[in-house]
Amino acid sequence: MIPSRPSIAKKLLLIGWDAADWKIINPLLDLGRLPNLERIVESGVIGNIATLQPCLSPILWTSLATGKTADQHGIVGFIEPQSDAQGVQLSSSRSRTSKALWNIFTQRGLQSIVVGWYATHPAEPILGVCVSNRFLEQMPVDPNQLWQLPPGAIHPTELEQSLAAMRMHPAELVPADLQAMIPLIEEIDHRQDNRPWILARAVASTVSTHCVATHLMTTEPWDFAAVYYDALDLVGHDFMPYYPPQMGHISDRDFQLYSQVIPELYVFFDQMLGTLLDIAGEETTVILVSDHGFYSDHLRPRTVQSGPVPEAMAAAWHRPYGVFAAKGPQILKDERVYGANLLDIAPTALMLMGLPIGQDMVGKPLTQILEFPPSSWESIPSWESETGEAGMHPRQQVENARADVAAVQQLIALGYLPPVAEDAQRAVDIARSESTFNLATVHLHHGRPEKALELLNELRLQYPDEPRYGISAAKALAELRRYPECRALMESLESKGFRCPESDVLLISAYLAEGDIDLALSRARDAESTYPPSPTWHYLIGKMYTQQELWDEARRAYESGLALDEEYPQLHNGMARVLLHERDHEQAAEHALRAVGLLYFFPEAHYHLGSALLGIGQSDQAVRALQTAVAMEPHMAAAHWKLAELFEQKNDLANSLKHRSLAMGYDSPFKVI
Amino acid sequence: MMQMLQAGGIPILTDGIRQPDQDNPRGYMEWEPVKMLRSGSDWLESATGHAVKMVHLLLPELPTHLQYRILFMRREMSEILASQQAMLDRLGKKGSGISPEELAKAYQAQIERVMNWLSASTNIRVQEVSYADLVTDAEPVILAIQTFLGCELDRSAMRAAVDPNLYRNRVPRKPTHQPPGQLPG
Repeated sequence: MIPSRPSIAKKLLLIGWDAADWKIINPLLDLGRLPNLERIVESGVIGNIATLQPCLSPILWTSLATGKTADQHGIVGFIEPQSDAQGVQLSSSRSRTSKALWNIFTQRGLQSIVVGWYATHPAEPILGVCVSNRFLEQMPVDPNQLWQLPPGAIHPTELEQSLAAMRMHPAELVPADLQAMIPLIEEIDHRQDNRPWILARAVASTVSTHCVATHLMTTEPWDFAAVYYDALDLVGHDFMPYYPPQMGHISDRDFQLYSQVIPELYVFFDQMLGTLLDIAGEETTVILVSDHGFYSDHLRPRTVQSGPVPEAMAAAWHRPYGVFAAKGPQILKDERVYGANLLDIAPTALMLMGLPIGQDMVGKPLTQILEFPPSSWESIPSWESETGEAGMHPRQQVENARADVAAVQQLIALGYLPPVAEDAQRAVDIARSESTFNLATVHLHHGRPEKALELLNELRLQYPDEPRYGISAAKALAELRRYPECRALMESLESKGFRCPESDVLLISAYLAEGDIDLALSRARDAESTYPPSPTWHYLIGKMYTQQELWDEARRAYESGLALDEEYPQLHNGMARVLLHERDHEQAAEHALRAVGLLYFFPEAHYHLGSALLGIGQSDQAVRALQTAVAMEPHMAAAHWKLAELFEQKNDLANSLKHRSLAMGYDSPFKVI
Repeated sequence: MMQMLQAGGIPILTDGIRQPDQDNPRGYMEWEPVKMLRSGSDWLESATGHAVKMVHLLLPELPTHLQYRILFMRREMSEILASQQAMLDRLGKKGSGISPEELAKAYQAQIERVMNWLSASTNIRVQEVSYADLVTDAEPVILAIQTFLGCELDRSAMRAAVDPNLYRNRVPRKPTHQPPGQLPG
């Protein structure tokens, strides 16, 4: 039995609001429209939480519940091939290869309630109740028809009947129910405009989830509850274009009809939050989190969901920072938290419940939210190897799900099994290739460009005309500093008539790396006039000026970028660099801190933070920042040099020597730009 | 096995759609409707006393109101994979796209699941047959098959039907950590 510390949280309630965003919440808080969220803000900690890439909900919510990246937890997209390879299905709990929080809690005899969480179907046999994310499927068009419950949607099965009865059909809603969100709903011809129906579906599904969750929280024993609501994301994709200020392509009439949907939906969510908080009580620790934000301002894309991979288009609306808020015993009051990442939620939940963290979890416990943060925390090598009933599906079924499909496909190719219908085959192919692409994206964003490139090259062989695969391969090449290949790949795509902001960024980066500053600059200016205003161009231009040591111009570029998006970590990092040159260490530290607060895995920003802290005489903090930088980027010679000097000043000659030799050992010194 | 059963006197169901080729010069002896068991199994009603070849994954789709005797062929997994790869190469088709190790593991898991399912089925009896034993020393295997099927078979014709030359892609017989698997190939 694994020992555990006394828990900080008596009970833990984890509330998932998909796509919730402070940029929408803050004005509503100021107006007093979200009194229940205000309760958390005033009595707890709040902050941004950085999302992961690819920014796709099943992957993100599973990372959140496991503390692991998709290559570890096995959920790599919205859909996956069925085990008989005859079609596709929503990513299932059988494909998850890591224990989620509820499995770990089951292993420790703690009761969980899980409602609606992504990739939980079929419901796992946990200690407690699991209502899967497919609980609301199979809804008949006619509300009077029988609404079958998908098999496996609820564990334990004894609760099926009572919980199924709580599902709300959208036809049960009357126009007056939606009037707060669509004040002029009575004027809409519903045969011509189906948007009210889309909203009704989302509201009814939210009500169903909420009823089930609150019912279970009041009738079942629980130590941990995880409730997931998807409507802010779903409705966002349909109605965020109508959110004020009015976008250029939105008609006055549509703006008049639908501009209140988003804010009023938040108000509705806040009312539900109030109920959850009341049921949970003051003794319960509450964490409210979103997997990403949602662009709601001038950075909103003008795209709609279309194309062969709609989720990829939808992801363009996802802002990289979501909502994190927590309150409860021993949690700081009315404070902000910086540097949180989705992967930190599972370790934080374990810490709060007094359980050790798995060393194979990528995230870290957010100790900074505690009144008395521990200097260290207990850990074990991995929860995966811990024996004991964890309420999972049989291990064999889980481990083999993906390979099983591949094996079936081989038998189909050999003629031993019937061929798959063309449409189904296409769906299976898309599911497989997108899963591979998503996996490559995970590798790319976690410092494993070689692995990413391997997968992407396979994909490019199969789908040479898919530009996304080419662009990602070029990103991997850039990470590997293989700039001539990166440049050649992007130029080849462009010769086929493909050009997009990302491809321009890569080309500019390649020109920069190859020292072709004039070409980079002219390309960036051309891109600036080609695409809508974007902080990315200002960042790239600033970077070029920095490289040329044209500091005033660099500063202007970074400032222009920040005026467009003040939450762009690379711009803050660029500003920190400029300010370091100007020897304004305090301001430099502030910008570097902002950068790492927004994007924790940012070794260059940690280096700048360390340099700035050194400049204002905070040498202990500087050491910590520089150590973080080299932990993330061990080849950063400049940081090793600084650490060597700092340790020498502290008479710690062993550490000084270690960093000196490390600094000298790297022949490609880190360039500060 | 199919050639041998036929030589022994058991009628087999085959449609001759898949013609003999380099991989199976004596023919595949397959029955196309077997692949469509899920959508139609009427043909099984009149197939009593016949032998039909099918891949392990189709076994759970057999209707439960009939009785079956399964000769479950076991072969070294590495031989199966080599044989399948040779067929895929010749057909110019892509296979699973996963490593041979992963594929072997997936097949083993599938077989284990099917065997568990078979052992729980009350209308099915199973006799495992080692492909390697059959090719190297057929007599005891043929005797076991005859006992299992409970009918007189022409054992000498069955022995004559065993063609060791067909035992390609074989691995040397030596102790291995990999348990034998069963798949056509």
